[in-house]
Amino acid sequence: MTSLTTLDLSGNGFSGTIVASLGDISAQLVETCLDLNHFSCVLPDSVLRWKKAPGFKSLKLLLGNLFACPDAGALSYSMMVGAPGLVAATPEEADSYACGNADYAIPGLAAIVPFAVVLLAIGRGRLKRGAGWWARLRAASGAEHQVAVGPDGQRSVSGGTFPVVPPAQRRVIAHRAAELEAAATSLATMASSACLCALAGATLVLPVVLNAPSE
Amino acid sequence: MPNLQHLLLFGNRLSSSIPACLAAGFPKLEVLLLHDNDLKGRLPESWNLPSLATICLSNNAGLRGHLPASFFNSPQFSARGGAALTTMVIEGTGIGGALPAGLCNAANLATLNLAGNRFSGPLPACVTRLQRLGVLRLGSNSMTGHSRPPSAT
Repeated sequence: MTSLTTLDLSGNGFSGTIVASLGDISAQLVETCLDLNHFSCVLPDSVLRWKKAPGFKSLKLLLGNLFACPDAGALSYSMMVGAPGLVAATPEEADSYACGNADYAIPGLAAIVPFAVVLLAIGRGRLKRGAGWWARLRAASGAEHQVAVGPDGQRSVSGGTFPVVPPAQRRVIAHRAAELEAAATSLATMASSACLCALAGATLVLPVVLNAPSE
Repeated sequence: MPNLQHLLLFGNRLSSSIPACLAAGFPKLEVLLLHDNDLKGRLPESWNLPSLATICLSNNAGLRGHLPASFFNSPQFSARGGAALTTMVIEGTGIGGALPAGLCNAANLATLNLAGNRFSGPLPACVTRLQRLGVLRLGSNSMTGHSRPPSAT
């Protein structure tokens, strides 16, 4: 691609490193957008020493990626500000860039959190269904007038059918059903709170990690 | 219309799918501009426009499906070495899927703008062989791929 002047891959899921050959053709690249991907590791010197092409428009690279900080004593991101400019508008912004490491691991949270929410929601639904079944059984044990005995000796309660249970055993079941119902409600509340906390945390932390501006 | 060279229907309210007959049967068609309409449905599967140099389908949000491999493997490329196609702009549609490797048959492709679609998968490595490619825009898609330094490969 010896004629390449515009390269826009922003807003995709490309990962890995920025190769040195990108910097080698910097003098011909008028517009380069690689932001909002999953690139990581250290930027090669050829990129850090970006050569400004005639008619240069933009170089978007840092935003939304997770590059490692340059080694101490080596080129820094702030050195690139003003020359061709590596995205950052001000030296302060470049200095505050949240450097990552060799692996683009932290943004994986963005995928894990929604998955956890779905799992917890399913679990909560099942717990509630289980609690409802026990509640009906408890109602059957406590309200004899709602129970109808069928010809086969089975008792039907509110559309459901249960085997005949002695009164003493019914009281024990009712007690345990109440305990289970309370536990299920408590667990569901805790799960909801945990989900909300995780989502709030991800919303607050991820933009910082990704070095994205929060509005 | 065997002698039709330019078909410019952009900026209207065309709301049908692109008819299959439009993708073939115009041996001299060089410019096909259908952007800024309301075109819907999938692109025709079979393409045979041997003289096509410029195609623009942008801003037709109802277009779906994938970029047919036949577009780059059809006789317009095999017969003329892909000499005709220089500009392909399909931005802001619902077209997705993987980019066909046959894309690299377009040896004279200078502008490839597929931004704002639903393309996924990697960028075909052979794209680096397109010596005349000056503008490559694939932003805002769902493409993936892992680049490594040459020493690590």
